Amino acid sequence: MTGRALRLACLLAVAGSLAYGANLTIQGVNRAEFWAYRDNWATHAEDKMDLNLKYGDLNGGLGLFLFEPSQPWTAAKKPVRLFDYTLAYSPKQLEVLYGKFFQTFGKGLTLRAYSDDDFRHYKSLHGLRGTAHLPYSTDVVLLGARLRDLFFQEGTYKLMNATDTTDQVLGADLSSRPFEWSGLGARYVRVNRDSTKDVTAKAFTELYGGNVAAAFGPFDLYGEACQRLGTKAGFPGGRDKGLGYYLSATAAFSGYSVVGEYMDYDRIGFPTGVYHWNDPPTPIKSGVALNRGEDEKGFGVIATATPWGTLYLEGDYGRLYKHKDPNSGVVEWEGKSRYSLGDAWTFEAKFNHMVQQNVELHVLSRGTDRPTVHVNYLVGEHTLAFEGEYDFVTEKRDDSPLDPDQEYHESALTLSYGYGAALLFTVGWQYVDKKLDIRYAGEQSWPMFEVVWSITERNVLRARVGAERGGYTCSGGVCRLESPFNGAKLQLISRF
Amino acid sequence: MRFARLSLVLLFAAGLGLAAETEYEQASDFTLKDVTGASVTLDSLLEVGPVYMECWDLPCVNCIAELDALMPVYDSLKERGLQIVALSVDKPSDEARVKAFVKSKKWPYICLLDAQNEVKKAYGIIIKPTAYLINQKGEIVYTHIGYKKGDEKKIAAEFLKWLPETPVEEIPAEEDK
Repeated sequence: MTGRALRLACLLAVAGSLAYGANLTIQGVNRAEFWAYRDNWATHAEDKMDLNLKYGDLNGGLGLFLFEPSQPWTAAKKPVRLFDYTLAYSPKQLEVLYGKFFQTFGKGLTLRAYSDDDFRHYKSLHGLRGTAHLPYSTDVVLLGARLRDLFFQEGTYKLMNATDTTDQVLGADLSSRPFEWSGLGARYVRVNRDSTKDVTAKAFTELYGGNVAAAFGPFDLYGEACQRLGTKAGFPGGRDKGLGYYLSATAAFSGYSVVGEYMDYDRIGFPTGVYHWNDPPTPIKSGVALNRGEDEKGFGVIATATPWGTLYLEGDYGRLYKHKDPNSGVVEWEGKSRYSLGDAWTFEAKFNHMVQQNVELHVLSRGTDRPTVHVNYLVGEHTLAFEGEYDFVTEKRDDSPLDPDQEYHESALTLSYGYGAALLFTVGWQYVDKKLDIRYAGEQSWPMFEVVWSITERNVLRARVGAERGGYTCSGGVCRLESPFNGAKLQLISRF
Repeated sequence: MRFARLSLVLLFAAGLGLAAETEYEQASDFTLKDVTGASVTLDSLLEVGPVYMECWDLPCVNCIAELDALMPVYDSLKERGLQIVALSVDKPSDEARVKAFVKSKKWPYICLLDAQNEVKKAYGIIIKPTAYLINQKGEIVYTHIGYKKGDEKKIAAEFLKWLPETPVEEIPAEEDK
């Protein structure tokens, strides 16, 4: 750039800034964590910072992610250092964005890139996105981006698609509400090359989808379908088709509601492998899924009632199984009631029953019956809370030939004291009444103590000392085996 | 080059000066769908009056209690332009449950779906419930974190500070134009 042009640009920028009168605003969140393991004094430091900058119609974002485990590093456990940026121009009804972003099309049958801080799972897109907000609540999204799947598992972060050989994702989505009672959507996603080993000349995956929605008085209906055209791996290759449907119907009256969901997914997962960029819903309330988008069929029903203001009742039933493997499936039902007595007391009782077959690796079947009670007492600025659960577990494993059938009980108790919104002390204890070498490495007791201190409205410090049982946990259909932990954790979340 | 540097310094100073003039934090604008599928922007809501935006989700008992408790407050102040936004940060797969729950509650609020947590992140929301009162200049003038019975009186007192004495005429929604 010549000096003259630079001067002109600077003048224009100053003039524009003053004339426009726009303020530069900077906001952000930082989550800093430090873990110390008691067994070997290993440590793990983590920091995730997201900054948002806004100046008139210009938006910027900076993201920093640092994961620093102590040495010795291994192929599985090593530092992760990521720096992201986003630049967006977003005048009214339009946005053009370059950089990191998250995007879901419909219910996620064709595309779902999201971040789940609680579960430490970040599926992001990096590229260009254009969004137009048109009349009749019509939104058009066009994108071209590369994918990144960062996932916390077995005490470390893994880039799930580190060996990804696919091209960038190209996608288009249209959603509209032409009438107040209706909704329509159409979408298309394409990824070139399923695998470098694919011998098909045109090796790509395409997903077509659409949805319709209607609302009549207390009733809501929603239906979404997706078709996948992929390529078969290996010789002689060829095209591979998949289909998926999601249907939901709700009825809601004053104090009462019923939701029914039905889903059938057959080979719509893309790309293939351990990570998927579409993420269809699961009917299982606790978030368990079988074979995300590849081979799942199921339904769920939830009914809620508030017959009077102080009483809340909820019943859920969910069932999920594979088309091609009748020995794999999940059934869950739960009953919950909550009752408030005056301003001070709240009682909650819950019973959850779940049977999982061939969901967890090496576990042929696992059945749990879990009664839970929760009592909350509030007086002035003081809150006392107690929660207790006692699980009856039956498990059949294929990697424990001497004792494949196991019956045991897991219990968890927590007692909390809170002072206003500023301080919360919790004492917890998890216990299993049988020595389980494979599942819990022979450990039976996990006590812990935690303090959460809201230093200011913008800074929350959480300190935890003790042990955590770990185990198989799921969120929104994504599951992992959580490693047991014994040591200290310190977390500071700051908003600025 | 000297002139260019000076211009840049001026630009920076102007930016800082303008930013420093503002006593309150500026609320980020957003575009989200409500539970009926209509697009809603913060700017369009602020044309009508101040906005009290509460972040909630289905498992958050205190969030739901706060939104229940604010219903009579809203009824008495909506004529004066108060708008309450119930910002659901539930997962997209829970959308049907959220819609049914909101309908069964008969909340008169604007119920928005922030399934991607874009607004939650932009506002740096750490704890649920967290609620912000945004005045018509787009400034966050009050933040309320947590909820216990009786807090609605404190929140109502804050509303009164930022509402006009006389009722405002409702501005028609974009789709009605």
